[in-house]
Amino acid sequence: MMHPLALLGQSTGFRPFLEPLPLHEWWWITLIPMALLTSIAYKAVRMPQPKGARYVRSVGIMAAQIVIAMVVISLLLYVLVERIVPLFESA
Amino acid sequence: MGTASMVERGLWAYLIPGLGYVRLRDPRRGALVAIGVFGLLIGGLLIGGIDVIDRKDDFWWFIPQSFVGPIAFLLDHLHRNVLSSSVERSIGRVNEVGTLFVVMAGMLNLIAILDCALEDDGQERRSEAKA
Repeated sequence: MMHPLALLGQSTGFRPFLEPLPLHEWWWITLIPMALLTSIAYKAVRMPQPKGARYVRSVGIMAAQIVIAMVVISLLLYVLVERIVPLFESA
Repeated sequence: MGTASMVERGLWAYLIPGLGYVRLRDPRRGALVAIGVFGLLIGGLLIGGIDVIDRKDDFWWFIPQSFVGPIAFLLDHLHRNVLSSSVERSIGRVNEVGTLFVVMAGMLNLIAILDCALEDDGQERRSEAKA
């Protein structure tokens, strides 16, 4: 007997949880929900009173910091691997 | 603070993410931790499929993932035994991202477990963070 999720896949072409999401080139977009969910849980543990506008603002700031830091690190690694390392190879 | 009560508080937090705080009469904090941890867990499973939890093939990744709680072992059992014929192996970026989501869920729940177990100190830490 087939699993209900497998049966769903036969009709829609995508079986959630049984096969990976077809994100292809858009995998990096998952960084945003990851940063947001991480911030929600971390700030809930860390803040004295996790409620109200202060909590929402803290979550937003932390999520933005994570995304910006990841983008900056990606750019630095890109420059290192694609621009700086080839200089040593050609030398 | 007794060792037994410390272990008990940590165990509640481990069983279901957020439950430790509910036991400590802080349901709002528990609900927010549960949203974050379960959101990351479900997100990881959706992105990479259930293949991202694999105690045998990805043992070292499973160690941080196991801090999500018994549900990680249940999902591994489902992956290995119940759904093994239906599961499509995920590879590449989606596998990496999905694995990372579940690892983040486990690591965040570990923070919550420690915070619940060491509750007295936790209040102090939070006060310091405020200042």
